[in-house]
Formats: sequence, structure tokens, C-alpha cells
Amino acid sequence: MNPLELTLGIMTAVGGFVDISELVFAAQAGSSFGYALIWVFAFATIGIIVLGEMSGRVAAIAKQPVFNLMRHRLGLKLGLVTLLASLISNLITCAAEIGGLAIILHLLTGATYMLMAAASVVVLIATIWVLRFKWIERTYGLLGLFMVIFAIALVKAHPPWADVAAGLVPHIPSGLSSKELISFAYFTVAIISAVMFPYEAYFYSSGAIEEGWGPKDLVINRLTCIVGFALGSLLAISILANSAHLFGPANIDPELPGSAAMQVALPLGGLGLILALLGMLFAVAGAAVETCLANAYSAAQFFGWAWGRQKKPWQAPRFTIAWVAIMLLALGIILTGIDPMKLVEYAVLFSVLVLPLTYLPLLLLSQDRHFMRTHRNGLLGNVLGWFYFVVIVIAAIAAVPLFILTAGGQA
Amino acid sequence: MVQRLLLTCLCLLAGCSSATEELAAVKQLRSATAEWALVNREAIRQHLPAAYVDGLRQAAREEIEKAAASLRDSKSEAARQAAALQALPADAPSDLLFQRAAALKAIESQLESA
Amino acid sequence: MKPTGRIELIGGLLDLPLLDKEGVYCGVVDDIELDGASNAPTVKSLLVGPGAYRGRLPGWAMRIVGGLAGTRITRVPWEAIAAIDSSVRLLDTANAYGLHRSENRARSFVPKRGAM
Repeated sequence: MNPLELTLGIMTAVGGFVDISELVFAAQAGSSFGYALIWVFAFATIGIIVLGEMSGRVAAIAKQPVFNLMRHRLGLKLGLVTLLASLISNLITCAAEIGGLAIILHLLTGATYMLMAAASVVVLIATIWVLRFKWIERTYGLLGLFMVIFAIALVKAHPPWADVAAGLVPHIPSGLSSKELISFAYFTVAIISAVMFPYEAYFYSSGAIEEGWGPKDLVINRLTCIVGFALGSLLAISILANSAHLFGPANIDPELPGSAAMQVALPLGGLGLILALLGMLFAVAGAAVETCLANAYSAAQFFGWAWGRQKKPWQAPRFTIAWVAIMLLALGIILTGIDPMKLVEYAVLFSVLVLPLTYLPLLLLSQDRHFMRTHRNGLLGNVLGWFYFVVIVIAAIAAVPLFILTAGGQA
Repeated sequence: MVQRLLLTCLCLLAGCSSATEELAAVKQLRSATAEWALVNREAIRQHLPAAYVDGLRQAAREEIEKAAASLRDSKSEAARQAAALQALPADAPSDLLFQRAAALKAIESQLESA
Repeated sequence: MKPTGRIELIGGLLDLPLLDKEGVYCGVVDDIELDGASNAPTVKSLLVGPGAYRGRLPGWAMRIVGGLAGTRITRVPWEAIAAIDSSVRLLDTANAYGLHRSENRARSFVPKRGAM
């Protein structure tokens, strides 16, 4: 095991953890409910660690990414339903990320929102075109480490650490009205969805194939998931805690992604603000790339096209056309003028509905003796995997009623 | 019997829906006003970049406009507050804006307990 | 697993990805063509392409698939298979079996420059 490779892999996972949905929901969760939703982030992170590790292991041992084997497991009809649902979910998410990028660039430069959306897409297409997979992942993942400024800001802000720690203990705050309880439930479902977005499993398992992982890489897989995702989650929790400490008492439920950067400006000034905006920029850009490629991977793997960014674009032409088309479609959605924050809500809602269809085949595959041989799930893996599957199903059933009852988390 | 039950649930949901939307609009008003106040205060204190300050001010004012448009009763206290906010300049004093946010918070609390 | 003897058509073959001898993906086993007597069938060929969805999708879905992707079917003879595990590996290149026609058409739209 190459220590440099391992370090880079972990750092990439840290920098690549946060996207626009986590940014927005972490900030709103903190301002609305103080530190009470920290445990939900921790809980969902364990879920993505378990399922991420499984998807990497399946790819490394079966030498096939999740979507290839998903169709084989579920069959054509259910496979097509899953494909369609995940394409729509990832497209909405990709559009939300591009909208978020445009907002951040507008705040950094003053240039108009629509122009920044178009410019972002041009740059993203160029980077995916020019760079090979490893460098796409490393570039955005490592640049996303600017997000560490949120953790530094939290330390500088001197929150009540005992209350922050208490937030890790699973509980529902006492004294909530029934409306607030419903809102709390909505945020719980939204956070689970935002942390366990389907595109993460598709991108991670396809990335494992792109990097040529085999049985010797299982340790890297496990460490990247556990350490990388856990540290990445700490960044999201920093945003929540900052929001609880600084925004809640000021009557602010940060509606605007730019407001989250104010958390850093308050303790660290103008330089902190710039670093926070840069961190958000690269984290969201990385997520835009991942959601776009995840869709292209899914379509290519489902229909058996040549795929991968380890190949040159013309060596996998249908895959190339797919990811370019997805990026342009996502831009088209933004250019209709739809509020990107609305897209974030729809992305989170749609994704939680798709989650059970995403993770069921993964669970079945990871314990399949024929494909996984001696590397199939142990007892802990099976228990945790099926536990989180039940959680995901409950979240999927509750999502739409909660969305309606809370007017998308606003009431 | 089943039809009546379904109709009751739909009416409840519709009723929930309109009251929920009113509450959501007031929350949006309150939060956007407080964000505007914060950025105006910190713009002076921290010498924040002009692009960021202008962008956030504009975004907050747009949120206030949207929230005002979705209020059902144009004669309500919330609607009056929203109209007063829309008449303020972009660089309005942060103290005034924080006061308006606190007033909107009181309206919001009344709606929540209703 | 070498393709001799008995095989589970649904659990062990249907909807597996196809890889040619160079390790390039070239389709999915969309359906299977059988030969021989009904009480002792043998696999004649693998069917690849949207046309092979007929019989596996309802009529209305097949009309949409046909409109979007066409109805072509490419037949890959059973003898072309080298091995079956988590994918079906072929003995020759995709082009030898007529499997990369769409990929080759799509290649004409992709500029061949600028990538590392």
C-alpha cells in the first residue's frame, strides 16, 4: 500500500464530501434546531461509509461497477426503472450544483448569475475532457479542502463545546410543537438523503474500476471510506454548529448559500470569507462533476457502452456524448431561471425516493458468494447494511408527506 | 364512508397547506431581513468584498420580494412590514433591519402557535 | 467459468455485460436465443441491442425504446464466448461480431484532440 496514494485518497474523500445540498441543509439545520441534528449527520455518515465500502469492494472483487451488476440482479424492467429514476435524480442534483456554483461565482466576482452558470459549465466540461479520472478526482477533492476553513472558524467562534458534543447523542429536543416536530423529521430525512446521495455510490464504484482496484486495494477502500468520509462529515457538522452558534440567535435561517460563508467572516474576517467561498466553489464544482459523470457511468454501464475517463474521450464516444449532454441539460435547467435552492430541495427529495432502488442491488451483490467469493459481507456488514436499508426505506416513505407538510422545509 | 374520510384528509391537507405557506412566507421574510442586517453590519465592521456584499444584499431583497408576493392578506402586519422593507435602501442601517427581523419573528411565533 | 455444460440462463447469463478480447465493453446480454428440442435446449446465440428487449418489456415501453434507440439486434454466437463470470468475455474484438456499430458512428461526432 502506497502511503502517498492512501493519503491522497483520504484527502480527496474529505474535500469531496460536501456539496450544495449538505451546505444548505447543514446551515439551516443548525439555525433551526441548534446542535440537535448533529447526530443525524453522524448517523448518515456511518450509513454512507458502510454502503460506500461495499460499493468499492464489489467493484474491486467482481471487477464490475454497481450499475453493471445491478441490471443483472434486478432484471431489465426494474433495472430500467432504477436507471430512469437515478438519471432524473442525478440530473436535478447536477443542475442544483451548477446553480450553486453560479451563485458563489456571482458573489466572488459580481458577474451575472446566468453568465457564471454558462462559464462554470464550460470550465467543467473542459476539465473533464482534458484530465484523466485520477486527476479529475484529485483536483476537485484536494481543492475542496479549502472547506477546512469552516472547522477553523468554528474553533475560533468558541461555541459551547459541551452542547456540540451533546448533539452527537441521538435525541429529539424536548418542548417542540407538533409543527416543529414535523420540521425536525423533515430535516432528518433531508440530511440522510443529502449525505447518502445515490450518485456517490455510482461514482465511487466506477472510480474504483477506473483506478483498476483489485483485492490488494480493499484496505485503501476501507480506510478511504471510514477516515475520508468521517473527516468530510466533520466539515458538514462544522457548518451546522457554526450556524447554530452564530445564525440561530440572530434569527437567520440561511436561505442563500452565500450566507453560509458569513459564518467564517464573523470570526475570521474578509480573508476567511474569501477562503470559505473558494472552499464552497471547489466542493460544489467537484459535486457537479461527480453527478454528471455518475449519470454517464450509469447509462453506459446499463447499456454496455465503452466508458471511463481513463480512456480518451473518442475511445468511449457514447459515454463522452452522454456526459457532455448531461452537463448541457443541467445548464439548460438553470437557464430556465428556476431558483437553484428549489432545485436543491427537489434533488434531496428525489434522491431519497431513489435510494432504496440504488442500495438494494448493492446489498445483494456484496453478499453474493458467486461474485464476491471470500470477500462477501461479514456479519457486521450484513447487519449494518440491512439496518441502513430499512432506514432508507422509511425515509423514502416519509419524504413526500413531510415535504408537503413543511412546504419544503420552510414552515 | 371511505370517500368522506378521504375528503376530510384532503381538506385537512389543503388547510394545512395554506396556513403552512403563510408561515413559510413570514419565515422567509424574517430570515432574509436578518441576513440583510448581518451583511450590512459586517460590511462596515469587516470590510467585506464589495461583490459579496452587493450580491447578498440583492439576494436578500429578492427573497423579501418573493415572500411578500406569497402573503395572502395584503393588509396583515407581515405584509405591512414587507412593504416597509422593500422601501428601504440597500445599505439600510443594520440596527433597523435587525429590529424589523425581530418584529417578524413575533408574527411568526403567533402563526406557529395558532 | 468456461461455457460448457449446464448454465443458469437467468441467474448466470442474462443481463451480464459483454467484454471483447481487448477488455472493451461492447453491450449487454439483452436476451438469449435457444436451439434444439424444448426438453433439451441449447444456447444458440446471445442477443444484443434494443430489439432484443421485445418480449421482456410491455408493448408501450417497447414502442418508446424503439422510437429512441431503434430495434436492431446483433447475434453473438455461443461459440464466440471465452468465459463467463461477472461478465461475458468474447474470443475476438467487438467489431468482429458487429457489436460496435453505434459506438463507431458516435465516434465521428467526438473531436480527437485536447485530452491527456
